[in-house]
Amino acid sequence: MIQSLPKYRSLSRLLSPPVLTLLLAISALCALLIGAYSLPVQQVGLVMGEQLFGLEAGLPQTLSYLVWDIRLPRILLSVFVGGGLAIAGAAVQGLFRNPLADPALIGVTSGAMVFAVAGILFSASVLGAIGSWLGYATVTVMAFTGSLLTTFLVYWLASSKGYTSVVTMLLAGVAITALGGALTGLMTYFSDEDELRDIIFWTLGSLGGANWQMLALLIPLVLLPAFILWRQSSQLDLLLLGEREAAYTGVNTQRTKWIVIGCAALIVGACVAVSGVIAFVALVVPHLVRLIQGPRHRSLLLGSALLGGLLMVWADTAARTLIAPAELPIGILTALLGAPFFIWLLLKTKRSL
Amino acid sequence: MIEANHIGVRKSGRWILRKARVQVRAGELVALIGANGAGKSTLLKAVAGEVTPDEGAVSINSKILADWPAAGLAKVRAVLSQSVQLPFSMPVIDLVEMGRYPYQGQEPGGRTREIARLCLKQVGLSGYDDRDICTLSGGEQQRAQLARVLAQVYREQPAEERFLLLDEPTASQDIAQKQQLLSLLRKLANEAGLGILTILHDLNLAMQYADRVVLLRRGHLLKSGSPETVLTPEGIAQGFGLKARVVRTPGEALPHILTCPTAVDLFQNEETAIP
Repeated sequence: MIQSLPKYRSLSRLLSPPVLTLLLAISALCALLIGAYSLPVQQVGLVMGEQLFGLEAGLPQTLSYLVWDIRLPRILLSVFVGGGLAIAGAAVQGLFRNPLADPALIGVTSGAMVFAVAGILFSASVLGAIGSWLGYATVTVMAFTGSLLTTFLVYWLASSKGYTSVVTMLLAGVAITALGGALTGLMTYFSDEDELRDIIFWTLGSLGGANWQMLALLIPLVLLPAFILWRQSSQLDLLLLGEREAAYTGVNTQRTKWIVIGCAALIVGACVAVSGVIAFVALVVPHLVRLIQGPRHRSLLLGSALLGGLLMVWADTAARTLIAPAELPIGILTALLGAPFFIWLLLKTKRSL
Repeated sequence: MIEANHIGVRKSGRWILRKARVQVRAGELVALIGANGAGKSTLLKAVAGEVTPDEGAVSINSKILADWPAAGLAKVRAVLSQSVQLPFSMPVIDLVEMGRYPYQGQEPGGRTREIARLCLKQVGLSGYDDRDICTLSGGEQQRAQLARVLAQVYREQPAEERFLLLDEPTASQDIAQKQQLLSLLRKLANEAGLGILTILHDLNLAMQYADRVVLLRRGHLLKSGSPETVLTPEGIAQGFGLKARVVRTPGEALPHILTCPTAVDLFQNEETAIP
């Protein structure tokens, strides 16, 4: 059992949804100013005025392009990818009644990876479009399809006679993930240098490809399932008592399982498709929020989404500034920071899982 | 009224329960007793709707279980399993409030909290609201779960008969708490009119508190009736393979059951195998 830390309870108010939202807004603004070229706040304000309200400020086009077409989409992408991954993680942990569960466990990530790598190879060898817009779109669509297909495969494997076993789903997820890893490895082994570079970059994760079209696709694919997940809060609370007790209390457990898995797959699939594999956010953020705010899903899901977005904004800001003008893959950064933090958390709580 | 007639449950081709029946009326406390493996839990699960019987049917308030909508059923009967483990810590009050799930959106949040407090008070856990459930003792956790189950069927003006199904609620309670718990159940039956079906291991508790006792043996109904007619030396010998004396002490209304160290050899007494 994971014990909450009483001394962190006072943090509960500090990390309440309104405060987190405010912090998120401030962070996003800071992130707009920070970068390989740091910008003064007035100029950013003028660009925003120009773009949003059509106020002519006579700014150089490059400045406007940097703020509006490069940084802002990227920051929004961080918010939605971070928030999406975290809320999906929180819901899946609740469903599996396991604080170590991660959407990656049900095969979403590995499925996306297999299909994305296949997409990279396909766009390089058949379309001859590696590095171009077409190649990029192919990989994104493939990754999204792959994540959904594997999730449904895992769900199907774990279901019989109208009942889905959560434990079987976990085991099937582990098996499918291993299979996915092998297939990815095989394709990687037979790829040439250009393809290899793309594959590695994709698997390390990056938010560098952000643009408005991508956001227009991603935002509904994150927001809508996230809202549906949030509406399942009470059902997820009751599932903490176990499936049997939830059913006794009037929860349609089969329906809830289906909704949670479906929505988590949509969110994670969409996030992985646009950003590659970003580790640890889905695992650590809900864990942290649970320690501070308790396991009730109404506040847990909302808190995870906000904190996930917040942390991702800063992680990406670090990723693009630490070794500027080059960039660190964000997946490396989140794992590099997330893993030790998680270990610290485990030692701090000093409870066995 | 709960009516379960001719209940048969098969597991991997073997009947583990056959021709069992039990009735629970509103305001009645019925104890389900029998040796381990006699089929008590299976019968309770069949009544709860978790196990669908291969034979026979269960109805609550004259409606077959299968015809009940999930939320409606949850409002008329609550089930407490033997041990419920929470994977995460949470305040006791939150746990109890979770029992109000079937009424979600039908009562203000403040009312839910009031009811949860009331139920905690009933099980003797007033003031435990903000305690972390994981820091409670086993017995306290069990009572907190009972409060959750009470909250689930709590109604100001009950329009229909309501029932509690409890699987060994006195497990991990000390001897005083066992008595308190059974008095509470007795009170709930008498005053709130709840029909209660509970598995009990302690025959004396069954004798003292139950209106009726249902004795199961090897998946069959052995005896059913008032405690004094079921809990006889013969009944206990047949049901448990145990020698017992039923002793009436002067000044006390109800007899006590004393078990004797020499067991009747159950294996010699094999007269009814389950067909």
